[in-house]
Amino acid sequence: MEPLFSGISNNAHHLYSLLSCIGFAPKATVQITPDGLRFSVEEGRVIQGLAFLDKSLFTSYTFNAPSDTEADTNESSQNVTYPHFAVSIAALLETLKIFGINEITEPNREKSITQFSGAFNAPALLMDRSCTLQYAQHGSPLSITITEAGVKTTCELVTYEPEEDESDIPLQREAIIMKIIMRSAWLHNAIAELDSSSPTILKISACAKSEPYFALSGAGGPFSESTVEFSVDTQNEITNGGGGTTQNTTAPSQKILTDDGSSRARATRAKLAPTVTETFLVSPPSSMGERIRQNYRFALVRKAARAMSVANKVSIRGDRQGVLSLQFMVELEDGNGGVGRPVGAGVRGPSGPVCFVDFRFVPLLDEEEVEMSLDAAVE
Amino acid sequence: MTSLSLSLGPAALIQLHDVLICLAKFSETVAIEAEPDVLRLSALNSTKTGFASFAFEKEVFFEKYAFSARGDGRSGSSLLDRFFCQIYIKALLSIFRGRIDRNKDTAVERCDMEIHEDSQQTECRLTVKMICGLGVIKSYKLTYEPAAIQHAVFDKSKATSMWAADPKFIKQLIDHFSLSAEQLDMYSDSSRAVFTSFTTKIMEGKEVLKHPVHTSVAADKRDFQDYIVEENMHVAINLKDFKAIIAHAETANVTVTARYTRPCKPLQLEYKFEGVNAEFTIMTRGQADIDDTLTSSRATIPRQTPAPIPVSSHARTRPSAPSTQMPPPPRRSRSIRPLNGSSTQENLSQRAGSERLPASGPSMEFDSLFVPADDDRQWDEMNEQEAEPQDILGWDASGTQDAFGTSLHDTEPAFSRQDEEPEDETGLPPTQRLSQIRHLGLFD
Repeated sequence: MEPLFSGISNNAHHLYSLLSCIGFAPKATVQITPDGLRFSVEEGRVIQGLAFLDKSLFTSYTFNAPSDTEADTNESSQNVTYPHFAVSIAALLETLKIFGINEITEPNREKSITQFSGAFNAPALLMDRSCTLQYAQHGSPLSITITEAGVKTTCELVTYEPEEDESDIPLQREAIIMKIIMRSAWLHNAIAELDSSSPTILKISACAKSEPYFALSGAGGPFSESTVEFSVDTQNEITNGGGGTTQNTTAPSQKILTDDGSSRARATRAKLAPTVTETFLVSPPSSMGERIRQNYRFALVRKAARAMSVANKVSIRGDRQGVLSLQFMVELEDGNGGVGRPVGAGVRGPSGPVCFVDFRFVPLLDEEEVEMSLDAAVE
Repeated sequence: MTSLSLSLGPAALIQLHDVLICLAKFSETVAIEAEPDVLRLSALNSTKTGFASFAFEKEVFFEKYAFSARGDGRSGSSLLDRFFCQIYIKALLSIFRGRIDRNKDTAVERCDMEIHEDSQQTECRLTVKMICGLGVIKSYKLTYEPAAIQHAVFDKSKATSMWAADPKFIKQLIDHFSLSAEQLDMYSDSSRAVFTSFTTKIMEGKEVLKHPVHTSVAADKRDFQDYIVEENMHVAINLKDFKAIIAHAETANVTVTARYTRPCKPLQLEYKFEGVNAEFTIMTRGQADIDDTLTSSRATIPRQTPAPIPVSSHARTRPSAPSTQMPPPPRRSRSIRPLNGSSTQENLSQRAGSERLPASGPSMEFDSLFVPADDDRQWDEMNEQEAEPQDILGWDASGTQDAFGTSLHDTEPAFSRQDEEPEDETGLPPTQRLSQIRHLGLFD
């Protein structure tokens, strides 16, 4: 019998890099689609991490959509078209790093500051490795076979029924009021910075018209409040033309990064956008005033730190309801000895496949607002 | 309104970080003193046997330094052109940590710090702003608290022994000592300088005597840049403090100078670099010279006896953290044990006398820097103010009871109203016998 799904990747490290970004909760819900595997991890319905393993990551990708048989009718009413199941993401990650990806990436995990370095430095020894994922049918285990230099390891991971009412945190795409694209490293740096004062709340403040244009601050820490503000660096804008310091070498690379829409980037720059952002669109509805302020639980946002360190760019979006979406663009090394640090990744052209990891956060509500809405409900 | 604003360059920032690491080995809090020309960070350890102070010169260390103070009558910051407060070191360290090897686009270009204190405002915040590349600005607001700050003053001119050496050289010597060693004894033996590490403490709770390992390292005096030390005079200091100092001096890479006179008198280590003046005053122990009548040897004056305390002692003994180290005596004495037949004042003063012991810290065996002083052992009380009544509650057990008994008496009712059981509200002293009040008709 043909397995429901079978995929062969010759770079387990790619899969590991992407999945480790969302490895913050015990279980992941996997959905098999014709275009790839969709891994979703959530915690308490307030944070959700999504990683999409695109078909292109696999050298061979076979998905035999179930015919209208028993397997299909047993599925829950949602997502009936594609099979989905839950699996322990921790076990999956352990399996993927069974041949020593561990040693390469793990040291970076704890050190929030130096996390950028080395995440992609996959040595050549990982290359001769094939990794086969197989899901035979509904209810069968997820089978992972890793072959390396004649050694074949097969792991069978128990699959679970996904929770019935599992649904994504809704991001209203038609009501996006904030969209900021910047290098992920800047965001990671900022979160690591705020983390040092161990805050409980992350405050995001963005305004298109007055300073601070974009600021992240941590509140609720024991000793201090800290703020990271992304402002317009007028000084460096001017000095970028001459001189030969390190800063100047990266400045052109930024322009390369924005090659898909550099004219637009300049246009936004003219509208006073922070220097580090490529895109800075803030258009709050008139009811909110000029400035968007939203609070999130810091501990949750910090769970995306791994993704921040691995990714190249991040798109920070917020909708009218305050749902925060962090979409990370991860440029995977194709493994041809690319040893450039991800921080300077802009210098290199995108060499490997590009994947996306998405995080969504439910905002913390102002108590006053809650009261007001309750009052409104009573009336 | 007091305001302090200063700017630091990247190099100074690294130095500040090193200094904070060093201070953190002495105390949990760092005292910050601002004066028109100098900023001083200092830390006094909990047993008051070690004092570390770093003075940063306005012109050299800072890119910009502006301080203005106007006496506004607020206690703690008035009278002098001076502002002081204390901050939890860990909070500062978390800000300045890891700035060293970040050679990236967003490396710190400048650090601005500001304090604005106004008696009209209650917020005590130190604002730190890191101006980084690409327009990234990281700002922090740290809570500070006003505090009385004590300095150990050391008279260099009175020092009789002195040596100066490269910290790397000293580091090589102390690297030989075991990690558990606590004390460091040094003496001069003909042409050699001998450093010996040893342990004195009994492991707390375990009742197991640590192995009294003595490790001696002898170095040729010529390896020192200067070595003028009295022959065969043993002076011992805390090894941990010494290590902390040497470690920092090594990062600064400057010659360390030690000055001292006799055992049981303070020793000072000092070095200067790039606008920073580091001074460490550490209490020494050892065999005090018995012939020396000035020396308050432990053998001759038992510690239990309150030492003679100068007139201003009430201010002197004010610890840097009054709330934790100096509980108000009336409250404590009353809650701990019921009053007996003796008068309240007497009882209180007894308690005060006996409670002086814990105040001097766990290592009573060592002479505190606070032991009453002669020539080179004085405390500069920088906060000489009009004595407030509360301050008179200091542990001046040597004074006559009248000296502070009245003030105790005055403050006591306030405490008792807050904290005492209801029976005290009868207004009768509990010492009165029941038989004495029978004729009042209440209990007949």
